[in-house]
Amino acid sequence: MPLLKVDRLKTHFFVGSPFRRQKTVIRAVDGVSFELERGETLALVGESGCGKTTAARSVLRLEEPTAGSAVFDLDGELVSIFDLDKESLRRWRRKAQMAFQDPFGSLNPRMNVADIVTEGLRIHRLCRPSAKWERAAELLESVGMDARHAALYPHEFSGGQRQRIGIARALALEPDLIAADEPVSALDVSAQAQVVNLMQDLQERMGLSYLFISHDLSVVRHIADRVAVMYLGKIVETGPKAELYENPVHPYTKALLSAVPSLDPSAGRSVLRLSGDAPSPANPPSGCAFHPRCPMAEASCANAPQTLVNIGGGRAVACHLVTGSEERSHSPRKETK
Amino acid sequence: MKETPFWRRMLKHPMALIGAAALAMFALAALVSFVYTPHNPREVDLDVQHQKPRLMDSDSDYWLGTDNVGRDILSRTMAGARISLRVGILIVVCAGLIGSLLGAVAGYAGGWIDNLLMRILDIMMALPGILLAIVIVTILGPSLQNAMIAVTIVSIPLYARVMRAETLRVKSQEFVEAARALGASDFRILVRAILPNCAAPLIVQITLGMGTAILETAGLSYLGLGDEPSVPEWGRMIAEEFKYIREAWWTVIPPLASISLTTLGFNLLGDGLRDILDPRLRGRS
Repeated sequence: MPLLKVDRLKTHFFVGSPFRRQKTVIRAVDGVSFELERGETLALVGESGCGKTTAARSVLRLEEPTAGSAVFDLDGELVSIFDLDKESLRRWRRKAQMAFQDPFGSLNPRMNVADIVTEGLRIHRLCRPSAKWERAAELLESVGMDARHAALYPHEFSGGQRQRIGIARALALEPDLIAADEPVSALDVSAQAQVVNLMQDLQERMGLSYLFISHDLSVVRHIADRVAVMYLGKIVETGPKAELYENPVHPYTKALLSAVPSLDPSAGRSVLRLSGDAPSPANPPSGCAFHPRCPMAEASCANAPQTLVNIGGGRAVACHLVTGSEERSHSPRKETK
Repeated sequence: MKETPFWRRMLKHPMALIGAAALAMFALAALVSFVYTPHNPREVDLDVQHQKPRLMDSDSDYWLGTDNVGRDILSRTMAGARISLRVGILIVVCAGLIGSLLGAVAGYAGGWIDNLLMRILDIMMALPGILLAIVIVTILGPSLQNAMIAVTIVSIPLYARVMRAETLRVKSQEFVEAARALGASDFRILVRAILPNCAAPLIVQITLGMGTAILETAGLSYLGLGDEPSVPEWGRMIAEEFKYIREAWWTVIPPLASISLTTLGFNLLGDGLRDILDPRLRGRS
């Protein structure tokens, strides 16, 4: 049983004054489904604005989803996250935490580190006030920081250290799932490596599952077990990391991967350039949302449904040109012409 | 790395220190006046009307002269300090608390609550402050207390707007969302995450507001909407003596100077506090 099963998640934002008839709908997440097993890292990748952050926030109910379901395995009991009432939601939050992107904005500048990392424990009354410093010291040490730092304030630390503090905060409640929203994007490369290694370490020791959101494919390659590529609110391809990187199937994935720099000077690099501008989620193209920029596009693409189809080996892709000739009979979501 | 403590940073801002010193002087005068004034501030003695101050007439018993009914101006000015400082602090604290609460709720809740509160405040701000204050005092009856109530009401929108702007700024920061992800209640978020980070601009606004509050109350008093003339309120003192300005011009100066200096003191202190508090709270870049 997977730890988390998300089915056809949709999160739409309505923009426009209440007096107008026409309201613009921004389909930030438009039918996303995935599963996350215990102890695994699923990476959600895509360009800015593709909806990956909104998807993660919707699963954690930091953003209210518009449609779809998310089922969580809470110690054997299946819980529908979107149906939780206020009190049950509060209790469930202990199981799913978030690590944030901005090291400067994600820590309360008016609280010292001990307060920051133990706040979750105090909210859920898991820690006596007198034990605060002890618990803070433990948490800091588990992320490779000095316990003496607990009395200091966020502005006294570097970006990498602040991200560690943020991770320590997320760990305090001993969650099963951590959604990491671009946790290393704001750091320099060496700090990135340290934090990523820390996260892998913690995952091994504590059996954590990560929903890792990133636009940086080289980082993702390091930490992910499986990868889901998103474009304009939908998943266009999923698969185990190694195979997806070696052998991308969807034209968008191919373009993304071709742009990743390689350290090998002899490897000739042919960057697949996409034509056209990034589309707006308020006014997506018809049919397959990628077709205006797709190098493989044909006329039929403007009317083709963009459904994710299994192609075996744990891989799925949403491109009717690719799957048209490769349909497998036990795919749960068959495309229809 | 420890940062420089508050008091040391204050030393780097001479203007703030000057302001603080001026206020300290008046505060001292106010405190002293509880136990000692050179003469009784309310004692009327028609034999010594409009005595000259000692600077002008070295025989005079009165350092700053007397007013038109023989009351010692220095004593009245000292006693007036009690009233004005109390007025300034009370008005600003009350308006600040109420305004902050409204502003924080509006900013945090957003939506129709925000709209409703802001439209009400817009209406309040559209009416000239003094006019509104006069109307309120006329309805409630002239007394210093009612003048204070009027000025408080008129001051609320300012603090509400400052607090709302700050709340909106803080609300969008990730650590607020982190608190929600941990399961914090709205109340806890407001009290522990939002309010402490809104403190600095509010403190500055409150300090600046004290000077204005004193000025406005003095103004109402001058217009006759405060207490009766025997009460040594600075604005009232000016109003009473203004008619005699040709014969006894010195009578108007002490209360006038006191109002100006106190307001200036609060302004300098407020400006200095803004500089001292803000960069530190914004953190190192």
